[in-house]
Amino acid sequence: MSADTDDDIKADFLTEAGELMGRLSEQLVELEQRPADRDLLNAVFRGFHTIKGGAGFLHLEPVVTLCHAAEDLFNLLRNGSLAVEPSLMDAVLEALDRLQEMLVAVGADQAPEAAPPALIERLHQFARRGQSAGAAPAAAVAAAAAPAADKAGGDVISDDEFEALLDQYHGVGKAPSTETVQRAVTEAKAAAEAPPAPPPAAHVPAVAETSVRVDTGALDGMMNLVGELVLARNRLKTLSARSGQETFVRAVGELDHITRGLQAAVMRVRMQPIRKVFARFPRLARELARGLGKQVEVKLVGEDTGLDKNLVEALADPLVHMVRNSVDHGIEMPERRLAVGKPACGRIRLAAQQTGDNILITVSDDGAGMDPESLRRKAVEKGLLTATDAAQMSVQECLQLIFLPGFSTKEQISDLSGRGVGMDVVKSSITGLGGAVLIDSRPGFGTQIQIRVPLTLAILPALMIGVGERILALPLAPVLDVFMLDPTRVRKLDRWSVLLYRNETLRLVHLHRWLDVPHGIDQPRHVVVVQVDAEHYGFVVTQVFGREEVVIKPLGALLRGLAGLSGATVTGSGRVALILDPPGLVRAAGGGE
Amino acid sequence: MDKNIRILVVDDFSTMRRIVKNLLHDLGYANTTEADDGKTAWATLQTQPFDLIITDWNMPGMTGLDLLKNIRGDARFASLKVLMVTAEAQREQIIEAAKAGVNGYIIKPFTAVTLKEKLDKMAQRTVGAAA
Repeated sequence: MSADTDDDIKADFLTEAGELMGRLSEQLVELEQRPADRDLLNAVFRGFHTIKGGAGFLHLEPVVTLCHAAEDLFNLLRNGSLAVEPSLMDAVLEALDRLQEMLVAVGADQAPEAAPPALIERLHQFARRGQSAGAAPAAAVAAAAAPAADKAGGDVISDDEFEALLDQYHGVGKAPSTETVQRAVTEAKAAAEAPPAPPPAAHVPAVAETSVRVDTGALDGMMNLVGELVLARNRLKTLSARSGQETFVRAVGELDHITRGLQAAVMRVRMQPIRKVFARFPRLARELARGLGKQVEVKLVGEDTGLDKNLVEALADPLVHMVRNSVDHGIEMPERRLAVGKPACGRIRLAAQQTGDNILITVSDDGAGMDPESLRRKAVEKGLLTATDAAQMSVQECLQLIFLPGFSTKEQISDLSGRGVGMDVVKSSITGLGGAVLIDSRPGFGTQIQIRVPLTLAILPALMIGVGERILALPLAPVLDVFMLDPTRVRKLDRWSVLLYRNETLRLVHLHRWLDVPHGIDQPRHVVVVQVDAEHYGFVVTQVFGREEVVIKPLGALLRGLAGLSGATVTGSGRVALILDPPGLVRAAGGGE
Repeated sequence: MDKNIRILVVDDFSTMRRIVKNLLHDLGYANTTEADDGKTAWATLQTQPFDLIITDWNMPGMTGLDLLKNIRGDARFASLKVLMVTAEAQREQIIEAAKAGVNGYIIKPFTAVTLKEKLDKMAQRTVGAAA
C-alpha cells in the first residue's frame, strides 16, 4: 500500500466513524428512555465494534482499546447479563467523548492520546459484573457444541483446531460443500438433539443497493450547473415571450418544466435531515444543566425536516449557542421553579418545520423569560442607545436588543454562554445564510427564538423591482405586500417619512434616494412592504415586475461589503441585477432624507 | 490461488471494504466487487458468478453467518469459498461457522501476509466426497 492510499483510507475511516459516533450519541440518549431495548443495545454494540475494526487496521491502539471496552460492555447488555444504569451510562458517555477527541486528533494528523486508565477500569468493572452472571451458560453452550475441539479449553480457537474441525465436519483435507454441511448439521442434531438446526436457507428476494456515497464537491458542482441552467432558462423564457412563435414558446415551456424538476431533484439530493444537528442537544443540554445544578429535558420536533447540507452544517454553532443560553440564562434552578409552580425539570423544545421556501426552526424554553424594560435600561446604560431612541422602542424591539453587539443580559458572565460568542454573532451568522432571527419572551413564562432560513443557499425566489432605470432583486421571503403609493398620505415622523398602513405606522425607505437615481415627480411609485426583524418597512420603488428565481452570484470586489447588497444575478432579459439585503438596506438608507 | 478469481467483499463499513480490497490488490487480486451487507451480497450472488466471498461476521440485516448458511444451502454455490472476517476467534462462534461450512476465518486487523496465508490454506482443501 502506498502512503497515499493509507491517507485515503484514513479519511474514509474518519468520515464513517464520525457518522457512527453521531448515531451512537443519539442511540445512547434513546437508551435512557428504553434501557432494555435489545435492538438498540445491539446497534450500540455494533457501532463500537465497527469503529474498533477500522481503527485496528489503522493502528490506532487507543481507539481500539476504548472501543473494545465499550463493546464488551454492550455485548453483555444486549445478552441481558447486565442492565443499564445511570453510572454505567455516564461511563459510556465519557468514553464517547474521549473517542471523539481521539478522532479529532487523528484528523489533525496527531497520535490520539490513550483514554484515562480509570475510565477503562470503570468500563471493565461493569463488564466483570455482567460476566460473573453470564459466563456459566456461555461455557455450557460451547461444550455441548464442540465435542471434538474441546481439548485445548479456553475461549479462543487456534488455526490447528479450526483445521481439525473442518476435517471432522467436512472430511479430511476437503472443503465444505452443500452435502457435508447438511451432514454436519444433522449429525450435530442427532448427537445432541439440543440446538435446532438452522432453518433451510430461504431465498431472500434480491435487494439492489439503494444508496451510494457521493463526494460533496460533486454535489456542489451539480448545484452550480443547475444554477447556470436556471439563468439560461430565464433568458430563453424572455426571448420566447417576445417572439410570439407558438412552437418556440411551447418548447421553452417544456424546458422550463424540466429545469424546475431538475432543480428540485438536485435540491433533494443535497437535503439532510436536521436531526444531524438536533441529535446532540438532549445530551448537551443535560450535561450543561447538571454542571449548573439544574434539570432540563429537551424535546425534539420535526427532526426529519430536510434542508440543504451546507445549511445543516452552518446552523450547528448558532443552535448550540442558543441552547446553551436557554440552559444557562433561561431555565431556573429547580427550587426556584418549584416555588413559582413549575415542574422542577425545565423544558427546552427544538422544532423544525418547512413553511414554503423556508425552514422555520424554533428554540423555546419554559424558563424565566426576559423583561423588555430591563433590556431597554441596560442598552442605555451600556451606551448602545440614546435614552430618546430607547424610549421609542416597542416591546418587540426591546427584545431584539439582545442581538446587539456588546449586549449581555447577565452581569456575571458564566463560563457557559459567555465564551466570547454573543447573540450578535448568532444573528449575523443566520443573516449571512439569508435568514432571520426573531425573539419573543414573556417574563416568567419563557423565551422563544425563531430562526427562518431559506431551503437552499444557491437559488433565491426574488421579487424583481425597478428603481429608475435599474432592476433590483428583493428576496421574496420577507415581502408581505405591494401597493401603489399615494404621495399625499406620506407624513414625517422624526427622521422617517411614514405612511399609515393597516392601522400601523409604516416607515418608508426611498430606494431612488439611496441609489441616487433621478425620479420623475409625477411618475407613479409603489411600496413594497418588507419585514425586517420584528418591524415592517415600506420600500418605495418605481416599478414591480414580479417573481423570478434568481441564482445568487457573489459581488465583485468593488461592491463587496456594501451595506444593503447581498449579491448579484443575471435577469431573464440578460441584465445584471443587484440583490438587496433588506436589514442592511434599512440600516444604510433608513430615514436618511 | 489464481489471481483472476472473482471476489465479493462484504462489509457494512465502507472503510473496511476498502481496506480489504487494498490488501487483495497488494496480493495481486484485482477482480473485486463490494456489497454492504448480507442481503445485498446474496442479491449480488444471484446475478454474477464469484469464486470467493470475504465477509464480515457482524452486519445488520443479514449476518455473515446467515449469508454463509444461505450459500451452503444452495447447490449452485458448491464451489464458492467463504472467508469470514471476525474480531475475535471466539470458540463457539468459529465452531458454528465451521459446521455451517466456512472455508476459513481471519481475525481483524490483519496484514496482507496473513490474508495470503489464509487464502493459500483454503486453496489446499478441495470440494469432493467426504472421507
